[in-house]
Amino acid sequence: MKCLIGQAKAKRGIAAALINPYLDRVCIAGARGTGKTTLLQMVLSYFSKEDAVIIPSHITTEKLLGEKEIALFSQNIGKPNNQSILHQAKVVITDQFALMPENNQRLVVQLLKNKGMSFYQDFHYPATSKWFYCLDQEMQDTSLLKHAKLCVRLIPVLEVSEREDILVSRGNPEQEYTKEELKKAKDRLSSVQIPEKMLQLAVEVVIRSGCKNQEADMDLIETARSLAALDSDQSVQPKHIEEAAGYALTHRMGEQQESTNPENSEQQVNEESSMNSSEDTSHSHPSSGNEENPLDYDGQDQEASGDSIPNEAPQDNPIITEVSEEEVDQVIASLKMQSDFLFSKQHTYPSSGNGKHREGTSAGGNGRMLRAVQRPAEAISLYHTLTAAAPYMKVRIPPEGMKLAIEKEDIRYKLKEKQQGFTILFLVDASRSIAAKKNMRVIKGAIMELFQQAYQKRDRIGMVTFRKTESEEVLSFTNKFAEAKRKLGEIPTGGKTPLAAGLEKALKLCEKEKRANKQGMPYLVILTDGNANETLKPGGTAAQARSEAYQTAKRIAQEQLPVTVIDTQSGRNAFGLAEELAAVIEGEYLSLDTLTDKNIAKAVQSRLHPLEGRR
Amino acid sequence: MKNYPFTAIVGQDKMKKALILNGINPKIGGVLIQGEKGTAKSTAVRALADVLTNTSVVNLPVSATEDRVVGTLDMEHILKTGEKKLEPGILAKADKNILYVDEVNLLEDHLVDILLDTAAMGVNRIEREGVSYEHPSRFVLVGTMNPEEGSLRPQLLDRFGLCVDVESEKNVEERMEVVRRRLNFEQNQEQFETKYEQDQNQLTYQIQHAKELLPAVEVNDHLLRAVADLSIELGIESHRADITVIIAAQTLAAWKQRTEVQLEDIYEAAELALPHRLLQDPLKENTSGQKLTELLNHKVVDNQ
Repeated sequence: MKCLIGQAKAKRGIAAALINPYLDRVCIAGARGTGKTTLLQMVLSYFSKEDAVIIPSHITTEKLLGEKEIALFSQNIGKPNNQSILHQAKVVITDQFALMPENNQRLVVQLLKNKGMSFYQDFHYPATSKWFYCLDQEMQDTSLLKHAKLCVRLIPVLEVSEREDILVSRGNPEQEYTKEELKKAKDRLSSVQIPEKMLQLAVEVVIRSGCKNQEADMDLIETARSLAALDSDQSVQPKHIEEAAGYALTHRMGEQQESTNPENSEQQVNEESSMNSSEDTSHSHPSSGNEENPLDYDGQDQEASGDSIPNEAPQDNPIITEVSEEEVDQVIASLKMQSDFLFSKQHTYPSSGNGKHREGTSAGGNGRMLRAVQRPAEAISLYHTLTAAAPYMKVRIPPEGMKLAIEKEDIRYKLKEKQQGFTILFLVDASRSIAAKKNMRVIKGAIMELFQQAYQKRDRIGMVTFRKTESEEVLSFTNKFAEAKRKLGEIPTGGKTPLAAGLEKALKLCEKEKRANKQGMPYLVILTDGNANETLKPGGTAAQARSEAYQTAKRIAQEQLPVTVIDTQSGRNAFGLAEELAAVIEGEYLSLDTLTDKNIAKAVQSRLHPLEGRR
Repeated sequence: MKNYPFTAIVGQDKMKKALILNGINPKIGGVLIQGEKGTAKSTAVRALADVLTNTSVVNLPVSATEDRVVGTLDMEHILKTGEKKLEPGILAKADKNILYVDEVNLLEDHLVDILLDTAAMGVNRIEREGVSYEHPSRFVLVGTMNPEEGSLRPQLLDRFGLCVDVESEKNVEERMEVVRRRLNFEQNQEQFETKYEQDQNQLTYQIQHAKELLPAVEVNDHLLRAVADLSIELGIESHRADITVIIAAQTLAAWKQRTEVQLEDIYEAAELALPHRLLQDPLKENTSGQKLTELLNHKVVDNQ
């Protein structure tokens, strides 16, 4: 247990979680090599081997849900085991949680959250298990942090000396917890009092932190209580609240940031705005629940969180008699710093937002069965296995206790496929030639219609525009349509037409998407008049620009991407350039002239969804 | 582990009302609870079963396998005896119960299809792997979701009879009370339960009573017209909306121990049954909710 030097703060957080049954979901965050796994091993050492379940990131859905062990494959024809791997576990460990396929991540979280709710025959969720999971700070998806009630952070060794100073000055010398110590602390836990003042402080800290999750109130209080028990204190003190906030709130403040502005990397700035926005929301509901408020302090939340409250002063706590604004501020300030730190690593990896771990072709053991195959897959199809074995029944002798004789070569597996929407990338010409008001309106209308259809079909969409000298990825692949709509409305127009740059960018994105998501071929929709008058390196002639564009178009054709070119040039003065482009790119050509926006959408969708029968 | 008592949940009256109405009358068609995390959504759903007689909450995990949901061959049986036998799935268990889907917006698409099929017919048909079988599966669909994490497919949205938005409490004192009760509950579950036993029994009785009263509740034509007017005024295409409003209003009347639906019941029901049907266009700005509230307030004032 002493293998981890320093990191006293993390250890204390873990200890707090271990002694309190309420704190059952803990995240360990830290940069690579800061000892996350070592810390997990420390956690494991507190439990006996039988009580611990370690879930590898490649676990199948069946194993999580519980599967029937067929007598065919197990020698002991006794009680078949159809319980989930999580059944009766006291501690559940997922070291590389971020690497788990998304559907299994959700499953794990739901199983561990909704404890004690049955859903399948006698199956019950683990009633007492604690869950510890690790997240690598460099590649973490901030959304995974929110599952935890507590988050402990491992700090790089460089800063240890500095951090230790802080800890020492707080009067918490570094310590290791033995099993006995923890047991004693656990016994003390129930007798730790929570003064009303501390309750109020906790709630106000949560509200002021901008954390929307009301559950945080409870987590913060329970953590503070655990910390008090560890310190052998009779009641929760402000310092415990402050310390607990570091464990229970920092990761949720990030959640707030994420929800206000998911793709923004400037989180420090955002922090401020999220604080304000939370204040705003409390302003907008000033009267909620006033009538029932027994302690009539005008019911103004913002006042309550701002001013000190003089008319309520229980005497449990001699040290502090009222919650001052200063105090809340102090806790908030320290939280902000910690939260920044927790989320800071993201700045250096701006592009690592989405699409890191995607289901492979086998759909992670879930999905609809396509057909039976002999190649081993995740699940056996009994029906097809039996059918395969059927002709041999007369000549084979079944093993004892079995009616049927099945050999290894009979076994058939399920090939599953997950239903998935298409990925559509819109490449929109936003240059001067298109910017004519009417044209742009029609184009936006058309895109909107496509968005709408895509939304219903669960397709993902992305958008790239090009104008002046460069192209811009306005919208990375998403299915958040409200956002897509907003982005569409904000597209600036005007300037020259760097068609080549636009095509280049589109090709790059499609390639990236193809790599990340092997199942779906991205579909490219280009809205342009086909005219190019800006080269990749600004300043070239129109002829150069056009030849560059055609070169890129040829490469797109080689990739065999399905493409539709929609000509935005209206009737009389059409030069046929877009049509030419469509020919080079080996895509379909549509003209805005003959199409209203609804028709465009239909045309594109009908090209997409002949495939629908297959999925 | 015990469930937190339904009656001990602080605030969130609209959500509680919607759940109780579904408990009284499963025909309402379930409820979708939208809101931020930590607003007692799951707690309330789980607690509901305790105040209903003969009903349990069946959980459908968002990433469950198709086998588990619709049912599959009983492998054990088939191997030992050579006979085909169906092993029922979650949908069989959900019959006459509450089917609870946490984070319903994240439910995998293939499961959504199954759910829509079954919910439409009230029957789960199994046609796979050489099995042909069907069994009734009439459930009250209760879903919770956080809209920030993705939107719900429109077809599935329309399946939910009622829809409520929950928000986290902003009042410090109220929140302290939430924590206080929760702490007491964690400290001593038995004692906490005893404290709320009377309330729980009372609620169980009220629900039971309303159930008995329900068949006798009448709606006059004048009110039916009011519902139709309301839908037209709001531009709602779905007839299911009208029907749901009427059924919910009947249930509300029974809950208030009346055998006649009054106009206020209609408006109260509309407030629960219409908000999610207004959002026909996911891309439009979300002002329709406000429109509904304004219109309803207006109507209530007019009728006083």
